[in-house]
Amino acid sequence: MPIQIELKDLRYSYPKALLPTLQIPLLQIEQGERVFIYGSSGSGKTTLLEILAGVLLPQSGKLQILEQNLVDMTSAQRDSFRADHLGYVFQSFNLIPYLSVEENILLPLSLSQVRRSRLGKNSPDLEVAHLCESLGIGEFRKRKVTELSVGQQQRVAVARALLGHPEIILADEPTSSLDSDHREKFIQLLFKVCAERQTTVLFVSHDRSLEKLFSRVISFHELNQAGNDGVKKGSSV
Amino acid sequence: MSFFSLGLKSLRNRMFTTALTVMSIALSTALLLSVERTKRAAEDGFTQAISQTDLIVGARSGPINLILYTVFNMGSATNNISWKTYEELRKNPSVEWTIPYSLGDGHRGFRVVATDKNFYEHYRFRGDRHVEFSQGQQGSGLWDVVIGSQVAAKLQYKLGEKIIVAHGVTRGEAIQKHDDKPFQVTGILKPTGTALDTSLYISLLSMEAIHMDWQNGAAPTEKTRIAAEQIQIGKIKVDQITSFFLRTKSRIDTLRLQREINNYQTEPLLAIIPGVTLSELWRGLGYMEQALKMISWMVVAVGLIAMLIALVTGLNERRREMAILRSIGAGPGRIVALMVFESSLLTLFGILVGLFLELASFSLLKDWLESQFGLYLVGAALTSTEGFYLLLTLSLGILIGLIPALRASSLALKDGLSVRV
Repeated sequence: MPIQIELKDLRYSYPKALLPTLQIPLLQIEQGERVFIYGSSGSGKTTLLEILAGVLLPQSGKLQILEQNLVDMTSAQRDSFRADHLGYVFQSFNLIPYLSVEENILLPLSLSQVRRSRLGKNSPDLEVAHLCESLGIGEFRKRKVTELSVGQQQRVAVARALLGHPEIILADEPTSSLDSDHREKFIQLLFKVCAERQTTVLFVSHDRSLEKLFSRVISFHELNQAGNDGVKKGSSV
Repeated sequence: MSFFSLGLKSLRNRMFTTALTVMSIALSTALLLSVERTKRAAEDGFTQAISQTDLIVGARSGPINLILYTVFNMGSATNNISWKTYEELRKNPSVEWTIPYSLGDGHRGFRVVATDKNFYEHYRFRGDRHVEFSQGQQGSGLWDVVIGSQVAAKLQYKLGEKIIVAHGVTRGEAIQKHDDKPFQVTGILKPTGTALDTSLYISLLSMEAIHMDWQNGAAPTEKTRIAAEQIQIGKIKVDQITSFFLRTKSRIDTLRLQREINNYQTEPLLAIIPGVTLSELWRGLGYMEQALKMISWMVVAVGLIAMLIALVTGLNERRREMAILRSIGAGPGRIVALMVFESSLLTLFGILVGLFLELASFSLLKDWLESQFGLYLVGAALTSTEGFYLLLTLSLGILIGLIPALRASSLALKDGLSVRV
């Protein structure tokens, strides 16, 4: 399988911060991989996802996704790259409260012509119905999102991330607000819908109990050299 | 779903704040429009207090003074015009009609105007409105009087009422009264919203008759008094009037005739074109209008600031929403556009509701404004001035909407995909 995501000697530090938050020598992810990255809270996992999503720009290094170099893009180009190729699932509060379930799922199509065209002949409504059916939320399509349980809301978020078949799903601890029974079920559903199109899944979490479900497990602590340096410097003082 | 229906739904979601914001803009817009409309009605009412009269002629004084005492019942004449001069000018071939006015007497603070039948026939105001009776008619007798609507209303006079004319116009009780020669009310005029409402009309002969036994401005003594019954219409001779209104046969003659009258050899006269003098006078009163306009613009500013406050205070609750929009690929430009769209929509709704409020209330209150304030809403309900004001308000709303919009997008950029509140 071709390499879809490649990070090399990537370095990112927040403005005015003394130490870099991220310093990643190498990370390569192939198409269709289900990658689990674990690490403690506040270690910079979300920062990594924001860089992959093109919201943050690394100070140095290579950031190549789908054979495109994000570092060379303007911020507007990165925004539309994200709209076309990436699906993002937050830890919680993924949905816009005043829109219905269906309207929330359809949201990405209003920003991406590419995702709309990927639906081909199928009408968006049909595609939403199919996704909701697969994710077990078919009956909630017309509901207000506030009437849904947290677990159902997370599944709506997955449906939105997947509508229009983006190549990569970035998930930021999407199961942490679910109870343990629902976590595995949620991941299995996610994998089921991603399998249809060989969608790559990059999943970050601090909870290692889920790692057995994934095809590849990475320790964020080992991936990110910045944290290690920081600890060493801190301890040597 | 289009990105802009998102804005609509977001506004609907915050219905209460939205309604309040729209209301505050609507009320301030309605006020602005009302001030403009009232100003226009007042100006029209003022500058059209007399119409179809080409020249007003009086003894030489100032144009403002002349128009004040003839059209607005204010101030007094310094001198009179001789009847001989009046007759000469009346017979000038380019004159179509004249209305003589003889002033100087009053009744309980209201003015008594002595005139002739031409007044009822030719006097016009606000375009083509003429003198109409609500009750009775113009009397033909020497001791008949026609009263204006407000005179009738304030003093509660009815037809047939006997009234006494006082010498000179004074408020309250007069010092010298023509109480030996009472008049009888034969007609009451319809309200006009002009000085006509506060005047009493007698004939020129009556005016002469009540002063017949006066000598050199002094009241008659017991010996010199001439009783009302002894006066016969045929024996009265009018020898002077205060002023007169004049209509030319062709408007082209107006300026020539004005010059002719102003250079009249036999006695010093002044002829003015009422429209010109009225406009001058209105411009002199213009500072009031400016003050009103300034205040209503301030109210508009307050309305827009209320919107600004509502939008800015709502921003913090919407940071999550912005992060979601960022995650699906919305750039800062999109967020600015969304927010500006919302504020433009609020302003537009506000303006439309305000416009509706203004038009509806003026059409509902039309009669009341006419009867209570003499405010006649003539002309178009909306002019290009109002259109310009509405556009200006809308642009201001959009401009002010940029403040929360830029703040929202800078917050969204700072937050990225995680809201660190």
